[in-house]
Amino acid sequence: MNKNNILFKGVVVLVLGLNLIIRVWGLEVSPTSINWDEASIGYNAYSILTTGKDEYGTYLPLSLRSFNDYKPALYAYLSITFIKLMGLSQTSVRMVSVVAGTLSLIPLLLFINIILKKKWWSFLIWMFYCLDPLRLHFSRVSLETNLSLSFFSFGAWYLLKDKLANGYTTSKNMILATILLALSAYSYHSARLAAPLLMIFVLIDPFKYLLNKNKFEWKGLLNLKYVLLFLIFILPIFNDFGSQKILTRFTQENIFNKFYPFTPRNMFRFDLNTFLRVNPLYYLTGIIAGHTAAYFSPANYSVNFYHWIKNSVMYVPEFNMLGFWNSILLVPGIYILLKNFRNTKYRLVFYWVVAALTPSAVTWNWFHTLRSANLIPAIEIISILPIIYLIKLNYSKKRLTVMLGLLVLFGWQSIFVINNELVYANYENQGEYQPGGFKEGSPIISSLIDKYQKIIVDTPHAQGYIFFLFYQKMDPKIIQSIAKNRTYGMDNGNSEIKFGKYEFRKIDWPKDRDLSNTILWMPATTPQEAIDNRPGAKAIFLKGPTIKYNSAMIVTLN
Amino acid sequence: MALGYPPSAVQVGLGIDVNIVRIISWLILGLGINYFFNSLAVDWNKFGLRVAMLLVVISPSLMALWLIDPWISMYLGLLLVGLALYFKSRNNLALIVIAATIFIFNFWQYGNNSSIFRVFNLEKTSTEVISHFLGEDSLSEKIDFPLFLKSFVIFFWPAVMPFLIGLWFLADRKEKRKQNFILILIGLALLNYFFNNGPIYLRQILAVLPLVLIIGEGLTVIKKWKWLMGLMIFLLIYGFQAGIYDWKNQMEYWFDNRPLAYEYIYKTIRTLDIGDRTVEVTGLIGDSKIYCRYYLGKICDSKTFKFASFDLREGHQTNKYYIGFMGEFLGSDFNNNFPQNWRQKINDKGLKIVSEMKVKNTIAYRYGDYLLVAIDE
Repeated sequence: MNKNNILFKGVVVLVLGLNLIIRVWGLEVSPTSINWDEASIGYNAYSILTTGKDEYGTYLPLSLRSFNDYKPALYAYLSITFIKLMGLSQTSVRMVSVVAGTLSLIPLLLFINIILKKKWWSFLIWMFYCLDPLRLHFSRVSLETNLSLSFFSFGAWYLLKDKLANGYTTSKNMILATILLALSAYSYHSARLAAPLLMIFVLIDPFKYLLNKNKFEWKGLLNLKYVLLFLIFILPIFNDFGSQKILTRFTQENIFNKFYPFTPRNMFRFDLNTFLRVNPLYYLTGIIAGHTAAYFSPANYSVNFYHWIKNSVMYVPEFNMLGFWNSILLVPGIYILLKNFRNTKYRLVFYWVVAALTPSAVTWNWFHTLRSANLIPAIEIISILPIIYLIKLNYSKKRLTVMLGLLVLFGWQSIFVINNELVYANYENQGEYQPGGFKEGSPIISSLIDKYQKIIVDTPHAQGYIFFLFYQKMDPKIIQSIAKNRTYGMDNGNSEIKFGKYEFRKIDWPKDRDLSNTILWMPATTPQEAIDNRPGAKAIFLKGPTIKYNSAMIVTLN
Repeated sequence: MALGYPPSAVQVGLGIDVNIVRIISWLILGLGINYFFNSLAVDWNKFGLRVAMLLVVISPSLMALWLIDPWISMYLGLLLVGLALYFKSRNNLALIVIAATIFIFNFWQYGNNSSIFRVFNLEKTSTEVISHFLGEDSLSEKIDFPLFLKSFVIFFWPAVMPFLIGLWFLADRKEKRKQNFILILIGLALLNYFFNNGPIYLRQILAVLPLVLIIGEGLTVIKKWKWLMGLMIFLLIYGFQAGIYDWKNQMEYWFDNRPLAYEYIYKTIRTLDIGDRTVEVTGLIGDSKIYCRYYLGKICDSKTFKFASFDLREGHQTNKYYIGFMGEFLGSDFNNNFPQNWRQKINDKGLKIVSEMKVKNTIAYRYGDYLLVAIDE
């Protein structure tokens, strides 16, 4: 290995190290507190670590039943090491995402380099793309999709690298790609559709026949054996609980369920006029076309227009999937992609986009970054194409000026992105996907619980019980003992449950004030006067962790 | 006009019959469109241009423009003429004038677009955080505001197919002049997008031009396959009629509800026996008096009418019509939540509800979604 190579690898490792630090820095305080999914993953990992079973008592499950949404369990298994080393905490449950998010940067560099073929220029571009807002944000929250993205990126690298370099595939890399893509499918739902689609597109290359009017090569279909192998690899997921339950999330969110009867409901009638003038099929096709087109709109990559993104774990204030400058570059990037569509390299990137957007295009949201996370590297590559074009220009003076300009702009943006994610986003998201009160109230409950017979919890947050299990590090056997009584369904689980001293239900203050030896945890809407009027009652208000409002109150009834 | 959508505040403010305003807007826009597309005939295929012109005319975004806003129609009409002149002369000065017009017009109409200027001020990140912390994120406020979510599609979805075909053929061929012109149009559309601070369909309005030229190219290619062309024509005509049917049947969903609310108020007043009573009309959703003059004439300048928001929590006058949102009768609520028995509560105050209308999209947040006409006789 020559000195240049050693230096190159050294600086890559250095940048990766810096990215790891940026991703791991202050995880205990930003994002301020965990959301219900993080709590569920963390607690189930803790439960598997201590008992070998999840919270429902299922032995080494491949999917976590959780809130009846059957989360892929791989993230939880990988978290076990961190939980064992660091204890069950906000940081330990996010560490898999931190590591996966950092490692997923490697295939990005490899892709840029294989297209550009100038490693130092590739490195420079990559350095700034490492800090894409959504990459950074997803890496600081425990998200199965981020783990999936990492496996998917590596899988796509092995799937595409030979094609990009030589135009053919090798069986060694194809097997590696199949394993990595299967791991991606074990990590998050979207990859279960995106991965086989990408494999089919890459192995068959349908546009090659359309563009060149070549005869279809039937022999090429034999390559689909890898798709079959992929399906065999992921079969156990569906065998674990039954395909119907594993597909619960899709059943809830798919386009056909949410939009039926497709024609707006206030116009829809079962009559001839409706079918002639506002036909449901016309609207359904329009919805699918619109959902697909949304993933080609640079505006959607730069700004959050949609309410389902705001107030959710996907939300990056001021940005969306890409940084401001990257999304501007996406416009000429799409143009360059189309202009070079006859070139296999560019077609492969297009296939990646189509495969990765399909899982989210068939769900009801117009634009959903969680479900389309596997799209990130492909979209980044497209937005890098204009830079690659500039670098390949011969006019060196012009090129240098533009590149220096871009360098300043991207550097500037990166500083903003870091500050935005670590500091500002914390305030902006508070109370939504980071529900306040649980983290602050938990130590108080721990100090009181031995003195009281019962604790009744009334919380507006979905499945509040999981936060108590998580923060109290409760013995999993307690929750496992009531597993049989917990209902199955499509309703995100039953939030009215009882275990140990805990009871989760609505609190009716005029009635429940007469209870004794009980702790009530409720929204801070009951007036202080009402508490004062009940002899022996004492209220503790829980302030939101960042913005000081009363997020909940604990009332002790003696 | 056939849709029956009432005049917007801008149109009412001009003091001319709304139909005349709309015809003038349509003519200005139409002349601009005609001049623009005719001037492109040197480089572009005539069939494609005619199709593109037709698509622009039936584009829902453009139709909404002349239906609602004469100033933006004029702005777009002038831009089209400017672009045609640039295309003919290839003088970069014309391009600079166009870009400056976009910048100045958007500033005049909407003030600065805080979201874009925020990005330009990246170095002030610490101040940014403080201002955000204080809850002054004007970008998100604007996106949350229901009227800013009102939007119109640029085309009906069947146009996607010729668009993709046109895009591919334009990129694949070596037609530099066409490609450059499309890129210039995209650049100007981006400029308008960044500096416009209005609803999203207005921010994207200039994107209509490059898109329609690409679709026109696509349809020129498709022309070779008669069956495909037939299918496309059928789908585009079907899309147009379905769009119009949809607009007519869901007007309150697509359009700004304030003109609809004013139309309801003043058409209801016409049916009331006012006599020597006075009428107090809400001022929560804009300048009510100009609408009153439009619908009822000079009577609005008399002492019979008062135009301001009212608060009846402390009491009310008898023999007076109150027309406003439920929060003005019961007291506003920060979360826009009102009791189920609000009608009973208003009756308990001694007021009789003469008429009511549920307004979609919460146009008067904190004051409820019901517009009421009530009196204490």
